[in-house]
Amino acid sequence: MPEAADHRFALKLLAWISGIWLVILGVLFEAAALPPEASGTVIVLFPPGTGTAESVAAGAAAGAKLVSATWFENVLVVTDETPGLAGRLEEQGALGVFENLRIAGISFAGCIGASLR
Amino acid sequence: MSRFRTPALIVIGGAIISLIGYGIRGDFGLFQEPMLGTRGWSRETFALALAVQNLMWGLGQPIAGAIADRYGSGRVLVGGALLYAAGIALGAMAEGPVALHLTLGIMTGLGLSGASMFIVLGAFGRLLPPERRAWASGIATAAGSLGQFLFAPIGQGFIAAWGWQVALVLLAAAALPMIPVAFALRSRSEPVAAEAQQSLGAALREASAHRSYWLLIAGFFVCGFHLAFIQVHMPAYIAGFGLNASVGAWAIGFVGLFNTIGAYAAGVLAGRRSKKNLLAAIYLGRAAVIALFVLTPVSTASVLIFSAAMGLLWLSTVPPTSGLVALMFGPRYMSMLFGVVFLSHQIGAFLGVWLGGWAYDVLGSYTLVWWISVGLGVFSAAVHWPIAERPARLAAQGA
Repeated sequence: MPEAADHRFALKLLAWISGIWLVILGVLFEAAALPPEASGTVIVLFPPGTGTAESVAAGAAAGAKLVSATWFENVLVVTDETPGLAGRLEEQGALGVFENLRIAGISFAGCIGASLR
Repeated sequence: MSRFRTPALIVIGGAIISLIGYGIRGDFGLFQEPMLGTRGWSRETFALALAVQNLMWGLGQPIAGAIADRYGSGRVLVGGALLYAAGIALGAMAEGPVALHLTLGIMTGLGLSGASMFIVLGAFGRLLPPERRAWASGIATAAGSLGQFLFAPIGQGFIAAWGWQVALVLLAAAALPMIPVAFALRSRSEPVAAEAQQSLGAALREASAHRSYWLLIAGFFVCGFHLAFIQVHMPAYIAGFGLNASVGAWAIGFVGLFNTIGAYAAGVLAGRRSKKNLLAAIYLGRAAVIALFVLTPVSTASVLIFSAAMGLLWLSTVPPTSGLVALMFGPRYMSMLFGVVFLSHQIGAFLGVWLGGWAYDVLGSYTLVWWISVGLGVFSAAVHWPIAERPARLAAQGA
């Protein structure tokens, strides 16, 4: 029967896995960010806690048009074809600017695997 | 068992294999749009490759289990990981539909059969003391669920940074750590007492003549039906009520978070309480949650509450189901016998997806399938109730 020590073991394992995951994400965050001269339709990440209105205003100040909001208030999809969009967004406080990946209806949880719509 | 292979190391090894195997598999959907854009395939072509993958996984699981029971879990895990990685990497080079189905479909599906949580659970049955098995199964199941979340942004990051072809090769490389980790799970069945003379065929015959095994197979079919139907058709169902797409994304997040908690809790409970009663309660709980969801006006709150509740009941069926197989027939042929139970799960999953699509096309609504899901939940609870929760030989003597 599991004891308190077993639950602590499970939590430590979770903490280790989460820590390694965060390091990998940090590396990917740097690698996936677009160079300052990039333009087009991009995903822009503002600091956590930035509201939708504030994010949209910062995007507009960089000369970008809003394409869509996302389920995070500090993450927007914006567009502008003038070169240097990524750099201008970073000047307005963006933490990172990324390629706008289109993702079809997929599910992350469950038994059967990725589902498609 | 060598001295370095402590129970903690075995559990960590099993958790890592579950996490990587399940995690990478959850990323394949991310490749749909970029692959179709480059190759010019139809959605059906890509969907068929993933459907073949799931079918191969289900069909391959009993075979991989039988090989693990006979020649050892470690070899099957290593072979599975190699095939899994090769299928993913070669998928990056597939230029036609046939090559795609061979690589991301057949090779990765069969690779998953070998490098899967279910082989890990069989190894736990042989390597860990009985009082630790259910708890360890809960950890491996929870790790698999967690992997699907952790790998989602990693897969997305790979694609964003280096494009989909390099991303597939990197994911294949991410599968390779399963190989050294598998050494912690090396195990071959050590026949004891009554199992000594039993062949693989005899074990299958014994199981097929045992009523409780069939009841377990019938019950796990329902698990597959529920999860696949909800997973595939829930986004469209939500969208039909005019809710924002972000609600669907949060719903998936809630299912995954609570799934991790539910799987671990089920492992702990399966070690303390009656496994069949736990399963009956889980399936009855699913029926009640689905019924409430269908009867309640759909809103953001109702979707999120439903997702959290279903998440708790999602993979929580795995530790008690695998535990019952081990209890009935012992650990010697557990991987194969649980593989057969899992095949039933995959058939249920196939029907859940198909029936949902059929109902929507023909009837214009999912209502009928929601109520079928409620009925199946009650049915599954009912079939678990009479399961004889003791070794099959004792149950036969007592009959």
